[in-house]
Amino acid sequence: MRKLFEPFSFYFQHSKMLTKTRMQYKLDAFLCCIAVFVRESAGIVGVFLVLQTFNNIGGWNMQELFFLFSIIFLTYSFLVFLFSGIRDFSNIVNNGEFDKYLLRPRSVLLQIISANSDYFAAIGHGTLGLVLFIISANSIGTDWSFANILYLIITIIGGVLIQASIWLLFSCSSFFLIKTDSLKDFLYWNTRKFAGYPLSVFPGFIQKLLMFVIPFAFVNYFPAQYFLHKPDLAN
Amino acid sequence: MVIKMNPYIEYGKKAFAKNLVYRSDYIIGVFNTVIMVFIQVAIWRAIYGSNTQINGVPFSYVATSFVLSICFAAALTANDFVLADKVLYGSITTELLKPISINLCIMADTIGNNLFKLIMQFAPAVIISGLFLGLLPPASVLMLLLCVFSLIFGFLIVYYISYIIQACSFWFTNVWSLSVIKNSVISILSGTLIPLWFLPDWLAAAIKWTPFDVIYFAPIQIYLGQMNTQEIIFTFAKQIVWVLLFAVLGMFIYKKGIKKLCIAGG
Repeated sequence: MRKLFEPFSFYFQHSKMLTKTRMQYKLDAFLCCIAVFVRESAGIVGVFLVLQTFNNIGGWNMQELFFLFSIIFLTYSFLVFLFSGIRDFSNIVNNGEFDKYLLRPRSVLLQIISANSDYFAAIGHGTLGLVLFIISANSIGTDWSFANILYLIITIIGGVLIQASIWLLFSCSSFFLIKTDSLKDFLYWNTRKFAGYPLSVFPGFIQKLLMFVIPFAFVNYFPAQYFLHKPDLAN
Repeated sequence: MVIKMNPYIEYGKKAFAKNLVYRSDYIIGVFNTVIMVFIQVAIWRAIYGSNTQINGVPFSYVATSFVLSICFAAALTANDFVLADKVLYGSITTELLKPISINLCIMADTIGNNLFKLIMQFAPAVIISGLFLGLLPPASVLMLLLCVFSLIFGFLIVYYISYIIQACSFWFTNVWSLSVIKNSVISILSGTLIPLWFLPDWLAAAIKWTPFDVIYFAPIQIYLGQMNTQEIIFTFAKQIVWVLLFAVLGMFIYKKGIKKLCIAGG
């Protein structure tokens, strides 16, 4: 029984220390939350301004688009809260600090996950995600029954795990390629920038990219189609 | 007093040469820019739907404006962390002892980097995305030249806004947050996210009072031949006023800051 809970207590010990280090610079921490919030809101403000002049983007109105974006932000918030370590461990491999994890008598992946958490980004993204969700949830014509709420929770858990696996894949490739930053920039960060838009507006090769290579479509687009009963891409 | 330009030209050359070391970074940089242009144009094609023009703006203008503004924004950047890193890590103390101006060094460094990006990134990115997305030719050779000139001033505006942020590093130490907020504001208001023709009227009127519309978007309007002589002169005047204003403000903050420079350790 003790063995079962041991990883959790390890994780909490780490988190406690991490919180203390992060709170050393309070003003910086606060500004960091605001900065992340503003940066991510920029894209949303763009959508909002576009829809002041136009009615829809590819047949999706503002509420529906906000719903799509909200899933991206909510999953990302949990993602950086839990799995920042995975995102950043290619740097650890790169500068030779990875050895210390190998020497300790605990699972390497557990140590990597516990060693880092990006609280401020999580707050920034989470706030924006929640705001968008609250704005859109009631006006997209979805009946928030128990089954639907359950489906939403599973969607979010799935979205977090999909993105964490993408990170793990990129980070692990740094064992062989040493520096993978630009590859990750190219395939993950860039893709994320437009993952909030409906898949149907993009040309074919970008649709394929989002479905089969970096499967962002499964994070928000396909689940949103279930909630919104959208017929696009039906054929 | 004659300023010796040689050391600064060397700084610029070094910055240019440093970029040559990371080849894969450079190739991926080009791809990144091209993909961003494709995405924006795809989204706007969906917005346009079957319309060929909206509010009197044909789709080809929108495509051209995205090709140019995203490529401009990628090539004419100012690194917000040159001075800030020197303050953070304390290397500014040795820089201050050298008999050259630290501000001109930063300028030289930035120009070196940007020349590299213009030749090696901007040109291929514009050619690739232009070929696929239908870049319109400039209205005339004169307009092309005026566009290039106004871009130089546009770059100076970006540079001095960045300089103000950097000068704040004497107080904040870590200017990452300020830099991110600044970049977000510029990306919305300068037309790289949404062409300024389509902003709601109240916002379009407000932007006229800010420097953001003359950074990338005014040069594009000149390129497309959308401005008459009077408007072009007004654009240049506005750019010069903003450059001077930001430069003076930046210098003032720098002068204040250098007096309270505080470095931990070393």
